[in-house]
Amino acid sequence: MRTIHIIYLIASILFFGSCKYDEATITVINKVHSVKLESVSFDNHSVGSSLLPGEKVSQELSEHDSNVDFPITAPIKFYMVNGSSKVLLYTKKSFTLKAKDNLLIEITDDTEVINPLNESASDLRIGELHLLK
Amino acid sequence: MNKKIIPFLLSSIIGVGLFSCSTDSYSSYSYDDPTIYSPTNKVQFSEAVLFISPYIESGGVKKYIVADSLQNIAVRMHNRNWPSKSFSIDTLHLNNKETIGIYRTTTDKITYPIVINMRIVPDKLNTAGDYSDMLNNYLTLPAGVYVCQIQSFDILTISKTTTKLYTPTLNMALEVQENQSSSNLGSFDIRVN
Repeated sequence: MRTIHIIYLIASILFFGSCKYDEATITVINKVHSVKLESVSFDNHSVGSSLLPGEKVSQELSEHDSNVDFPITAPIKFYMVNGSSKVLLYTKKSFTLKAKDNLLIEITDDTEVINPLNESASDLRIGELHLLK
Repeated sequence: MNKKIIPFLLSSIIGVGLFSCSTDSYSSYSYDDPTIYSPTNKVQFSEAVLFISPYIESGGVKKYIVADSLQNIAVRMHNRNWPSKSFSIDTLHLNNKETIGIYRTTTDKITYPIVINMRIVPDKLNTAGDYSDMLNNYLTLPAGVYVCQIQSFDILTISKTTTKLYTPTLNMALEVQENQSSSNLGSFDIRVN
């Protein structure tokens, strides 16, 4: 009897342990002249701490992690830094990351961005679920 | 011997690492855009001041033109136009006024004070490149010497209309120094024909 219980226990561990969680990868490239991008995040998931012009960083997200539930749609949030001066910015466009995706995002000089301080209340309402996180 | 050298080397490496840490260089200027956070308190150059005294010569005597102010002053510097106007003058309390030609004049010297606002406000802040330009001080005058040209200005005539006066010879040097908020370009008498 005891042996069977042990077998059942081992089988259960193997069964639940082998469950697969969906994953996806997001990559961000800094193509903005003369500034660093710091604390880059996507839907409150950290993607990279510091990107010099031309640098890229990737982050794998898994549903095994808390707060990850594909698909995820959100803007990219980052701090643009020059010396000791910095500004908080969000991309105006939101990006969607689906399970098993490999999403590549380039932040360039032409990427439209917003700072919540410069946006009216009506503009914020459109993406406020993301901006107010 | 090896047992003494290894701790020494480790300590040296750690010491060199600590003392060689570099800090971010500080920006030259502070910012006045509300989205920018900057702990530096350095001063940003924001204005140039000059004084203009337009006059006509009558009988070998300088007669200074009387007007409320000088308008539409065309200033050219650092490949940009800096439209300006002068402060208003209290012409009511001027003495010895007379009309010469199309101008109201006085023998008292009138100096029109002009402040040229040199703070460049970005037309827009829509893209990452716009913010980068602002953070990189591309929108302010860095320290240096610039040629300032006062190209023309409008002045009121006796018939209450304005006439444009061109001043191709009114050129001066503007020197911007670190931590300087304003500069005095000087005082100039301008003969009007």
